Amino acid sequence: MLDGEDKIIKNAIDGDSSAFGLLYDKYHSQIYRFIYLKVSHREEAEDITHQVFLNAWKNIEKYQIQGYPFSSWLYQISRNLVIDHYRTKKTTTDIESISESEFADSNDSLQKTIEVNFEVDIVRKAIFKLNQEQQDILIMRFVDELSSKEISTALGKPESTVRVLQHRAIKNLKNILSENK
Amino acid sequence: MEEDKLIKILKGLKEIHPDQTYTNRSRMYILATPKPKAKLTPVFFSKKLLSAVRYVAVFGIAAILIFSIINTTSYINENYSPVSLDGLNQKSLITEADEMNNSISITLKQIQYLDQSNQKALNTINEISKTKPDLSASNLQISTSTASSTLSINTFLIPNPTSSTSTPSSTNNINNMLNQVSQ
Repeated sequence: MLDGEDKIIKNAIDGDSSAFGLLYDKYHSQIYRFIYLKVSHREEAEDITHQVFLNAWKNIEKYQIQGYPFSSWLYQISRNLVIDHYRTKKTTTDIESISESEFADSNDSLQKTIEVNFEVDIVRKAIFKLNQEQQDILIMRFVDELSSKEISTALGKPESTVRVLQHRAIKNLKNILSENK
Repeated sequence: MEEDKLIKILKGLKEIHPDQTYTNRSRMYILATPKPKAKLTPVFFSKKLLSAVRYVAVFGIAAILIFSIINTTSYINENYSPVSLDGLNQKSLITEADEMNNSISITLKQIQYLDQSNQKALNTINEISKTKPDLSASNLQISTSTASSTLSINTFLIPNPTSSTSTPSSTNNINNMLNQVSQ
């Protein structure tokens, strides 16, 4: 959460584009990562992320400051746009066709060893096999490191449910990985 | 794969970042987009006011409904109910209670009167026994012969004017005794 985020959001609501620019800088990578892991396609992830922030800017007056981070609202918009993306696309992405180079390009630190890269790619593909809800929770909790409270706000579910779903998602991911061996 | 290792790999995915050229281009485009001005809503149509009016209306209608249901039920019960219960009629209950009260107070008066007369009779007998022991002895014989009977007691009592059980003979007995005492 940004320092004085509430004030920045108020300024953005009042039409201050530079204030919204600060919010963009803070949350853009996080939202992009979330979308990229869900669609597994760089250009599609870029398009959807752009649309998320454009929608947020156009509708920021609808955001109500309630002590929750601005990211929860952005995650809600992202989830809806990803669902719309799959609804309109109406074709399933072939897991094997996901280019490994897409990930490798974006992660220089993980290119150090081929072994690590290989494992990361397997896990990324396994995440893609989970259902949308479990994907959301795993990415939010372990990749973007959100708290259970932030995830519960973003998903509109109680914290206890989030914890149960998280446990189930990890279990399913392990099963998928063991099946792929 | 172990859970710890899995979580470590998941955390490693944090290194995914968008292309910087795309990020700058997207940022510029979004911030250059004119933000549509929010429609100004009059104060009397504001969300808070509307929700307050809604709550007041809901509670008001609920109160009116409850009040009318209670009134209608009681009216129908009093006037048109085929199974109207007398026990629920307040006026008849009060009348009945008054009657019971009256009968209880009459009975109490009778008991009080009988008690007083009994006391008088006993006092008289005591006086007789002190002044005329021979007379009292003869009376005692009479009284001991019928001591177990409640009728014998009644023979010494002044009759209750309201009581139907009093007999002229018992009244005469006491009067005779009183005459003897006076002589």
